Amino acid sequence: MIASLVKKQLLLLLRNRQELLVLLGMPFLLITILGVALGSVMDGGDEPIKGKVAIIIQGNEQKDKEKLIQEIKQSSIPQQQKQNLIEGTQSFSPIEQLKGIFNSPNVKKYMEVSIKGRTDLDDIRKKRDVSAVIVVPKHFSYNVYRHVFLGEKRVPQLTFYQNDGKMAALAALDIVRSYRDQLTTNTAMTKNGIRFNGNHHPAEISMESVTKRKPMKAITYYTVGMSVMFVLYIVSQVSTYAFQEKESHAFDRMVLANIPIFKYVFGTFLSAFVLALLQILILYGAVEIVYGVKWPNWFSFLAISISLSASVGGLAVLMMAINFRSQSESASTFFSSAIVSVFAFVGGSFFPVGQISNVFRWLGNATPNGAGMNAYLKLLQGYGFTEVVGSFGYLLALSICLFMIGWMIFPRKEMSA
Amino acid sequence: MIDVVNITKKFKKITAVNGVNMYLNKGETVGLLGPNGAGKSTTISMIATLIPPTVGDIRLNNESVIKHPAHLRSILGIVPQEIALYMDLSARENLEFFARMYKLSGKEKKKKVDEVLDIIGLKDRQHDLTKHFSGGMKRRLNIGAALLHDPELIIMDEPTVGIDPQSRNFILQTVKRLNEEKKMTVLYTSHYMEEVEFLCDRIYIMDNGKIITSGTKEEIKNILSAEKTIVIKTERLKEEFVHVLNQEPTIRKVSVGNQTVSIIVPKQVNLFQKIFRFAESTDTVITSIDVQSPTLEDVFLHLTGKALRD
Repeated sequence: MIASLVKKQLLLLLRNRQELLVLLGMPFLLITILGVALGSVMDGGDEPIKGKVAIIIQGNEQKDKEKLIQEIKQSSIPQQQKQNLIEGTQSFSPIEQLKGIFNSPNVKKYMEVSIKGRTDLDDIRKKRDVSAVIVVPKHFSYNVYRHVFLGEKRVPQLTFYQNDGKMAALAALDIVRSYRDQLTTNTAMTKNGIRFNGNHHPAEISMESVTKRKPMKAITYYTVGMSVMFVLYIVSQVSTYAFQEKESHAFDRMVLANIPIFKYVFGTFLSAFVLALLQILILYGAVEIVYGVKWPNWFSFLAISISLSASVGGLAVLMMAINFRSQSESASTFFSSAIVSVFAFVGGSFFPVGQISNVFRWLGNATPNGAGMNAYLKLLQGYGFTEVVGSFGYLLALSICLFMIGWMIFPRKEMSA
Repeated sequence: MIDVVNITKKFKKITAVNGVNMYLNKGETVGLLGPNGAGKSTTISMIATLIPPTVGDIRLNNESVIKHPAHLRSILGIVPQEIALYMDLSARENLEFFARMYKLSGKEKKKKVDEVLDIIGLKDRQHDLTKHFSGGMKRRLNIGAALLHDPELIIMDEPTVGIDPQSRNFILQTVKRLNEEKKMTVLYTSHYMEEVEFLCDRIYIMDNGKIITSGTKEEIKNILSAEKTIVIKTERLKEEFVHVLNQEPTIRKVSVGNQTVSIIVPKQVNLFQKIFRFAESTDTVITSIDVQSPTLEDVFLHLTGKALRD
């Protein structure tokens, strides 16, 4: 029965050329226009990650090293172990390792790194052109040694300040994360009695991570931007059809056929879900064929598309319920004429508004299209599913919430007399 | 089968239906007559359990259907005044969709859809989109969608509005066949008196939300058994002529049509000489005078003071 509701909705849409044009033709046209028109502005060369990163080193690694060696010598541990620890400490310089990573030619191609001693942190953070600041606190190396070699539980910490949303800041954060992961690996190796020589590996790992972030072309950006915007029109399409069904009394026939309320509402959800998913797949399929925009990870792409389509289904149920409750289709009309544009703007469909301020970034990610866009862009840049699992979960949770609210406000007397 | 007990429906300050009582016996065709705005559609929506009455009860075999509508719904087919179909689906797709809603599937669904297409005479056009149908074909399909689950009771709300005489005749014959061959109980609302006269065993006449009279066709016509209708056709109908007719104390009702005046007078009154005199004095040219037995239309006029299609 639910399958019949979905099939009916699909047939109605397929036979409505005007709707098809809005849902598939318009986004494709806009992707082409915006992608070509803004290509020269957005694509700008092969170096997408440009920006300045500052590293402030507040301590003295050599003194930390000497202090720990002195402590080891004075301790009561066996002589052989003492010798191993001293050798390990002498060959391992965490701060130098971090500096080495950021000073490597591969990283310098993408960002300008300045390493400073004791400097006023506030002064640097106020500089608008610095995308990120990494603060290495006093006794950092000493704490690392104790953590790695002596098994001290307190975890040494670096502080990372992100000044803007530029790719340089995100890349620097990735490098620091990789650096942290390498230290964790070193600690585990030491605990298991394995000697390590880790001064070079983190740099390699980090650069691998950075270069995964592919440059974002205008056509790619607007493919995502327009698709997540136009998928919202499915909401008004499905909810308007439902209201017209009520007005024409076709809905009465379903009421008289004793269709349970949940089945009708779920049928509406599923119709919107299927239509949204099909729209996304057709649109991305066409863009892949025509413009060569490819998805590096099909599983992740499908997961995000499914969760985004589910949130569209949830919104359709909510709009339908408001239409039925208010006995007019004004909710659907308002959604398609105003809400879609607002959502598209804050969600970043026209340009990355998240770079304007954190408030916009937060608002954008709260919208279904914004959350979907954020996840799609990450996937296109080469991130894995773990990086977008938050958006995936958020969209699914949002769809459940919207469905529940819609189901609660759907007028019960419609189905039960 | 169905008992409607003193139902009233109020929408805020407006009372659309006021204390209506009626009954339907199994296998009979009952007409509900009334002008636009009389409350017919609201009444049948309540009987169909689509809207609850503000006051009163509706019973199916002595069981209230207000709180437990499922049984009535399972034996009820409804033909709304609106075309309750999907215009972008074909006739067959529409019927298959509603058949699925009634939980029909597979061969059973196909058989039933074929049977209904036969009944409504649309087998040849079953794959055409509904939006390309004529008004009459849409109305036939609208009826077909109500027949898929073999209802025992079918409620038809003005099913012939706005269609050509040929389609209208087809629909009336179909309804009569359903009643006679399938023993379906029919509640038929219309403001076409001749349809109700053709189809119905009993008639309820409704105006301003109330039932103003009910009975068999003969019983209702007997209301005017002591009267006759004189239809005067004219070439030049003058307002003064209608005015003087209205002033004549022996005339009970006057209604004016296109160059035609109908008057209701007691059977024993002979008015011919007066009519010609009135015509002469008001410069009205009479082309014919016809004396008729009362029709249901005349009864309605007599009871409400207005024509059915006012």
